[in-house]
Amino acid sequence: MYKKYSDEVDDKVTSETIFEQCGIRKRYISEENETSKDFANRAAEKLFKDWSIDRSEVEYLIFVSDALEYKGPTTACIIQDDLGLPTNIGAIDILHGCTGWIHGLSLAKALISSGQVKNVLLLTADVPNKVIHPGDVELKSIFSDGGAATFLSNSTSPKEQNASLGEFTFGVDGSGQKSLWVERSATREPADIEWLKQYEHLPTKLIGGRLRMNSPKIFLFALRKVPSLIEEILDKHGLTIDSTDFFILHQANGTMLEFLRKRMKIPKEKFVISIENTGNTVSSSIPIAMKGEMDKKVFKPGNKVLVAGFGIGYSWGGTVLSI
Amino acid sequence: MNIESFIEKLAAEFEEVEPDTLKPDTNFRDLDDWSSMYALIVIALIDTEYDVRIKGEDLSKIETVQELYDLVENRKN
Repeated sequence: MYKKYSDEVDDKVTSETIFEQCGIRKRYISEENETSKDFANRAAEKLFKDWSIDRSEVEYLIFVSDALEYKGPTTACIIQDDLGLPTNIGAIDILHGCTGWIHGLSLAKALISSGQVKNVLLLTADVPNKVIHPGDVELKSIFSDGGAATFLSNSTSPKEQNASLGEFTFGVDGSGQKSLWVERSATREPADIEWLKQYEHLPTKLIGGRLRMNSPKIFLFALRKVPSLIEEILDKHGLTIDSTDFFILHQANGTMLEFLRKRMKIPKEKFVISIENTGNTVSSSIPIAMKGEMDKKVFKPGNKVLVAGFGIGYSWGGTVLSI
Repeated sequence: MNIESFIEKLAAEFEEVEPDTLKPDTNFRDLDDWSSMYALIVIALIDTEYDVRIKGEDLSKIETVQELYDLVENRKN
């Protein structure tokens, strides 16, 4: 049974109804003193260890998050120090929500293919629960705090499964800025004392702003936009749904993904829905879903894996990974 | 567009509904799966299949599959 912050019990929303409506059983919530950077650092350390990557060889660091440490300095600079990366590297932050991993990949590809660097460490992490009001059940039901690390290089790893990046498709439509946004979170209409006072009883106090979602709008945006995005990505690669082996979309909401799958007539076995035990982790949802499939060893050499993100902005984008 | 194909498309979105149990006089609110999420799915289905935009408030005024079909047909013409 869902327990409201006020300790009142709303028996209409249970973990079972959340599962039925969103396909989510488990979500992760950061500790009070944890930020997205901490998730990114842990993911990076795990990647260095599991894939035997020598951190002194990292040449460029991209940190994708909508929850940066400060307005300055760049959080990626702080991560350089945290991880003990060389100081002669490039480091930038990208704010791009659920399409963030796609943008990170595209920039990494540009840096590597233009010969500027040999490799890029791409970290994604978000902590949406810090800006969610405990009474906003729709938001609480789906969003999860998490991070992921992706390593891109001009050489392949002998130990791990490798993939090469295809062509990118991008899109933005800023007219959707208020369909999903963090109110009172930065320079435009910053939080003032009066605004903050109404939330001082909450555990997070919403000091970083409040996530607002117009769910019909964002939902319909995704249901309308994603099929044409997928079509565009396939066209760019001369692929069809039949000739593509897997589809890994931003894990927004299980019901929404299932609707999209049916709309696009993609067979169930090709369409990854792995949201059940992770929830919607914003910028990390695609790499987390991808890692889950890699661990199950479903990818075979020659496989084409379409990846696509969409959401806050509005923004959308995707590419095809060749295994 | 006819009501049979409309029902077929609608039924495909509801996991628990067997195609032959959904009739023109079925109240879609009585379906097991019905929720605000499904209301959005119905709106999106009508949008993508029939190029007709309906709103949540349109849905709240009607109850049966037939009424939904009529709404779509009226908007389409």
